[in-house]
This record gives sequence, C-alpha cells and structure tokens, in this order.
Amino acid sequence: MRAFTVMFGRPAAMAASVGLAILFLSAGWTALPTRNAPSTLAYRLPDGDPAAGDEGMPVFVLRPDHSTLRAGVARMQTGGRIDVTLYDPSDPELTQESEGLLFNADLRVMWLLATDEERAALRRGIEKLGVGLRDAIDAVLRSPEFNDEYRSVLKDVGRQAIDTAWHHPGTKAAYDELVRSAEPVLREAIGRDLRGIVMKRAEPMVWDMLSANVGSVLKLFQDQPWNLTPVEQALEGIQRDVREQGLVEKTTQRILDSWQAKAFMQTFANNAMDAAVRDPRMRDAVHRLLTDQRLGAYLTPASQPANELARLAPQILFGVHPQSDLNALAAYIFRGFITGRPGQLVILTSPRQRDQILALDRFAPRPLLYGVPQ
Amino acid sequence: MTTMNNALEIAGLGIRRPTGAVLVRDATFTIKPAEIVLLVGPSGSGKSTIVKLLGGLLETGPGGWGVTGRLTCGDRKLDLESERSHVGGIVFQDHALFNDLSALENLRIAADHAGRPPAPALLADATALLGDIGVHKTVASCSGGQRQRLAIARTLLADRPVLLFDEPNSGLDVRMARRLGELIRDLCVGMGKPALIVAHHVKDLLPVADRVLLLDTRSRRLVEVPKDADAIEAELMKLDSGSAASTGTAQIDTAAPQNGKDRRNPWPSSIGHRSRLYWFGRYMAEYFWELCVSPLMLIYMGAGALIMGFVSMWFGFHYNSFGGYLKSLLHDETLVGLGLVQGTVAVPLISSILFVARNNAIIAADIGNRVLSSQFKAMDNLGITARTYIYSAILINMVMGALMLLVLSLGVAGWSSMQTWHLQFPQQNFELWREHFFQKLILEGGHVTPRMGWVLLKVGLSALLAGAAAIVIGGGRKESVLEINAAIARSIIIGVTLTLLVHAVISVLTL
Repeated sequence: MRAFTVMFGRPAAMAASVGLAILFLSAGWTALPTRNAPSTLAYRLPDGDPAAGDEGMPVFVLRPDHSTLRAGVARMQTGGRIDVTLYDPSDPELTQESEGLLFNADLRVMWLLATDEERAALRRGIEKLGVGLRDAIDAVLRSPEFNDEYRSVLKDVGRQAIDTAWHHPGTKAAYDELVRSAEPVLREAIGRDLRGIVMKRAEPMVWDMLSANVGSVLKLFQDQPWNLTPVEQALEGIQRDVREQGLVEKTTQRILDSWQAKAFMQTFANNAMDAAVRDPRMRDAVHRLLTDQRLGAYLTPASQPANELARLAPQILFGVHPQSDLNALAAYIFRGFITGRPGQLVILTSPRQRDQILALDRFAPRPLLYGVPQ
Repeated sequence: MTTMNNALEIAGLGIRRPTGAVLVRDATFTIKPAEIVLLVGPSGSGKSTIVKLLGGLLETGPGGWGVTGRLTCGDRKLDLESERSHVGGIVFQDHALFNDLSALENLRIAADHAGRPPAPALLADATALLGDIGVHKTVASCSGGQRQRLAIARTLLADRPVLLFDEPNSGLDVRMARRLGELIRDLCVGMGKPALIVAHHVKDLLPVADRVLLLDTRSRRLVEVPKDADAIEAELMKLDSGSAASTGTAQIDTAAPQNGKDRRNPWPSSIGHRSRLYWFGRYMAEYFWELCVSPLMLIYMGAGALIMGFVSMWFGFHYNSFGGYLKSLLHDETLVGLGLVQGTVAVPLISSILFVARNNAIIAADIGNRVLSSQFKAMDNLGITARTYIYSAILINMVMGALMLLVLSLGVAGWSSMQTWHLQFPQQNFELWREHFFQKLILEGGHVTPRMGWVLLKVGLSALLAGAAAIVIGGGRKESVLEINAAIARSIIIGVTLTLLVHAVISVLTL
C-alpha cells in the first residue's frame, strides 16, 4: 500500500478506501432480503376462512412444461383473503398466469402437476411392481423351502390364532350380539318369504300324498310304510323356489350388512391377528422367512420393477437427478413431509392448466377467486 | 536566545546493573549553566546509562537498576535512589524521531507535551536549526544531518533544564562532527543550559567542550581529565583495549541552518499548540488507517470474504450427501443452514483470522521498530504518554476495525454466496435465496438474531486479545531487526491461535 500511497498520494488512497467500502456495503445491501414489500396480487377463498395464517405460504408459477418456479410469498388474511407478494411482478412468465390454486403441501400436488406422460409412466411402473410382487409371492409360496419349513408352522399358527380368537371373550360377546340381531331377520324371512313358498307347495303335496297312499288307507291294518315321495318332491320344490328366489342370499346379505356383523368380523380378525403376532412361533418363522437367503431368488420378479419405480418416482415427482435445477415446490413439500408440518401453498396457473388439474382432482386443489390487494 | 541559569549538580552517584555489577561508584560532578561537559569512556562502560538516568529512562527499583546519589538542578533536589530525574532532554544517538509523524509533527508533539507552552524565544531558538527543512517534510525524506537537527530541535522544545547528547557525532565525518559541536555550543551558550555530551570519539568535540569527564572502568569512578586529545585518547586506549572501531560517514548537511537564519523561518508559526486529545485522535486516525481501512486491507478482507462466500455455497451444494441428486430436495434447509453457519461461524472466523494475522504483523513490526529505534524512550523523555496514545489507539482500532470489517465481510460474503447460488440455480429469483439464507439471521420484523451478539463478542474479544499479544510481543526488548522479524512471526502465531481459541470456545458455549 505504501507503493500505492507513494504513487498516487494519501488522498487517492483514501478515496480508494472509501470507494471499496461503498462497493462492499452496496454488495451486501443487495443481498439483504426485501422486507414488508407491498402485495401485488390478491385472491380469496370461495367459502371464506376466518383464520389468518401466521406464516407465509410459498407461491409458485406453473410453467407450460409443467415445471414450477418459486414466484413469491402469500399470506392468509382474516376472512379468507390471500395477499400475494411476487418476487418480480414484471416477470414475463407471470403475465399469463393469473389463476390461483390453493393446495395442501403433500405428494398429491406433485402427482397433479406431473404431465400425462409422467403419470402414465408412474402407473405403468406401479402396475409392473404389482405384477412382480404377485409373481414373487406366488413363487415363494410354491417353493419347496417354504413348503418344507414354513407352511406347516404358519398353518398351525393360523389355526391356533383362529381358535384363540374364537374363544376370546370379546369375540364371544360380538358373536352373541350378531346372533341376537340375526334372529328377527330370520323370523321375518321364515314367516313371510318361506311361508309363501311352503304353502304354495303344501297344498299339492297333500293331494299327492293322498293319491299315492289311497290304497294304504283302505288297507288300514296292513303293515306298509307310507309313500313319502310327494313330501320329498315338495321339499325339493321348496328348495328350488328358495334358491330361485335368492331367499338365503338376501337374508344372509341383510345379516352381513348389520353393524353387529361388522363388529364381530373386526373383533374376530383383530383377536386372530393379535394371537398370531403374540405367538413366538410366528415371530420366529417370519424372522427366518425374511432372512432366508434361499427365498431371495424367488423375489427377482419384484426387484427390477421396484428398482425402476424407486428411480422413476423421485425423478418425476421431485425432479431428482444429478444436474437438476432447483425444484422449489418439491423442496417445500419434502420439508413439510420431514418436519410433519406440511402447510399450504399457492400455485398460479393459466386457466387451461387450472381446468386440467381440476379435471384430475376436484377436491385437493382449492380454486381461488380474485380479490382486491390491500 | 532564551537563557536559563540552572546548574546540574550530582553528588555521590552510584549505579549498579540489574545483575549487581557496579557501573559507577560515588561520582560527584557539576555542570554549570552554558557549560559543555564531555563524558568519555570505552564502549559499554555505561556512559549512555548516565544519560538515561538523567533523562528519566532508567528503570530503577526491585529487579532493575540500583541507583544512589542526589541531584540538584535549580530548585529541584532529587534523591536518585527513590525519585526519577526528568531534568535532562536527550538527543539520542540514532535520533529516535517518530517516523510515523512528519518533521513538523515531531516538533509539535514535543512542544505540546512540554510542561508549559514553549516561549516564542524558545521556539525561535529551537527552530533556527531547521531553516533548510520543509515544514511538511516526512522524516524518511530528511537527510541524516536534517534528522539530527530535528532531533535536537525536538529536545529543545521539551524545554528540559539540561541537554544530554548521546554520541551525537557517531557516524559523522570530522567536518560534520565539528559543525555539530559548534551548533551545540551556540545553543548552550545562547540558552544558558548545561550540556552533557557522551562521546566515544572526542577529538571532534573537544574544541567546544569546557571540561572532560572520564568514566574509569577500573575504578568505576568519574575522573576529570585535561582537555588534551592525546591524553584522553591515551587514557581511553588503556581502558578500551583496542575497541576504537572506525566509523562510517554519513551524508549530512549541517551548513544549511546558517543560511536558513537569514530567511523568514516558517517553523515557529507552524508549531502552535494542540491538546492531548488532538494527539490521541492523531494516533487513532493513524492506526485506523493502517489497521482498518487502508485500500490493501479492504481488498485483502474483501477477497477473503468473497472466497468464503463462494466456497461455502458452491461446495455446500455440490458435496453434500448424494451430491447433485438431493440438492434440489434439500435446497431450502441447506440454504438456511449455510446462511446460519456462514453468518455466525465461518465468515466471522475467517474475517478474524485474516484481520488478526495481518494486523498483528503490523503491530509487532511497528512497536518493535519503535523499541529498536528508541522512540518509546524518546517519548518518555519528552513526557509523551506513549502507552496511552499508541497502545490504546491500537487496541481500540483492533476491536472497532474487527467489527467494522466483519460487517463488510458479511456483506461481501453474502453477495458472493448469492451470485454463486444463482450460478447453480440460474432460473430462480434472488429473493428465494434471500428468504432462506437469512431465515435464521434476520428475524420477523427485521431484527437481527440475538446470536449476532455472540458473534460480535468473539470477533471483538479475539481482536482485543490478539492486539494485546502483539503489543506485548512487539514491545519486548529488541536489539536487532532480526528480533523484530521473530516478533512478527510470534505475534501472528499467537494472535491467530488466540483467535481460534476464542471463536471455538464461544461457538461451543453458544451452540
């Protein structure tokens, strides 16, 4: 610096210092966040919302290629008004994007914002995985290793669990309740529907019985059995009528539709599962099953679709790939997912994009109406 | 010329080194007003120690020099064993000019710290020597002779009753040494002040001396010897076994004052009077410039912050877990974390280290140079409170500068981070970066996070401790430039280590 001072003098050095200090402070000033900027857009919820939000919501703009760009901050005001402060109101991407949609920040948003091709690709991946899983499970269940070592144990466990659940007091109480609730249904079915069928068949049966046994009536003291064929025919006819009229199915359906039936089934299933899980043989079998390297070979049908889906889903939904620019929407949703505080977000779209999204899902996005900025 | 009629009387003077060795035993002498006494003796015999004693620079007391005897000068009577003498104004062998001040300021500071404002006659007498020296000339641009006359003028302005010259002819050729002798003669006679000249080579000064005292290194007594050059040389030869080293000559000019006397002398009117606060401000400004805001310092700190901002943002996003795969997903939290770390840990630390490393080198060199060139001694002799001015100016500027440059560094690093981020995410708006980067630094309502209080504490405290270390290291005994170099290196290492420790401790405590 002495050389500088010698060459240009102390005043020049001081001027250089002042210039540098101003330059540095200006650079720092440009980096500071803009606070309390006035809102540039306003929307409102159609059904209103009395609560004002404490925290700002991010605002994104949906571009024609279905990528999103962070465009500003929105704040929920009392009465459902949403004030939006755009980072750059003169951004040309915003001039055509004026329709607002309010979302809860969850994976559904990513699904809705994906292109048709991306959604189709995801569906294909999920289907492939489903097929692969079925094949893999079938292969495991058919494998000699499973049949030799696991099947009998698991069957025993299952039987034991059903037995335990059946004798469980809760199951018994639920079953009794079901039976009590079924009696009126059965009485009604027998008294009304079955009676009509029986009566229809009973009258010809009497005449058939009489005509078939008329000889026997006359030989009163002969020791001959009655000809019961008409009875058998009448019973067959009743059974046929019952079957043809669906009487059993209807009655069963009525019983099964009752809440007592549901309660019984739930109680029974819960108790059976609890009993199975508590069974140490089950724990041991499952542990061995999961760590049995011999069974790994049977899972091959599922592994490739699973890998493909694991690679595809983050790429499509979160835009995760090595050279990706920022997907601020995915980052926000991911943060909400991790922290357990998903929050809400606003996406600005064109009218056509809004209609496409609403066609896919009429409930997840909440269309916003225009409001007046304040 | 001003006249003072105070004789210097020394009775029973004894000086003992801190090691216990006796330097002078029971010396008694008197120097009358306007009388010039030559004090001669072999090298290392202790002549300069007597000058220091009379100038109030000898550290006496427990662990220091041992002194006995009495001093009388006018109405001042001192017991040298317990009281410090300030009767002598010393002209140091190496001039001990304050080379950070201009020629004029060297005189001004001496005049302003004299017991009372110098009388016009004293100003005229003292500055009559300086006719050929420009008022605003820097010390560095003065010739050797001009520096010597500046040093003499500065000592005269301090207005001490006795003039003490420590080997003034050292390095001068015969002609110049005789001129200097005549100059001293004129001053003493004109001002009526007694003068004691310590000299190893007496021949050139003998014509102006009234008496000659020999410090006998065998008997450790002061002995008056005849004004006979040959006799003195013979005595010295006996005492100084062949240590009469030849001296080089300096390119000095003592002829100018006589010419200058004929012209109007601008010096007296330029000296004027200033308060001590002015001098404190003067040193504050000097160190503020050197330690805080010189262009090179700003460029250096700015470059450090620029690189820090780039590195933290570039590598923060490129070399986190899974690299580019997750940089999009983890963007928000990464940015918030980088902002917090950069603002409260990384930039304060790098800023402090750069600041301390550079300034500790400067302080150690500056203080070391002042020690080596006897500037502190000269200040003490002139009654200038060097520690108040220089040490406090350094420490205040260290703290103030560290905080000020921290703000600048944070600004530059922030800007650099923002631009680096935009290189990686070119489609995003800068406001997105601002929103996340400052999320934990600037709270709702625009308030700065309370954590910044700890940041200021660690930056200020580390600068204060490092500055104090540099002062202590630089202010240690210096015998050569090599020792200054070693002090610079030591000062950097200790300063940076202290900085690291302070930052680490406070950062850990405030996690």
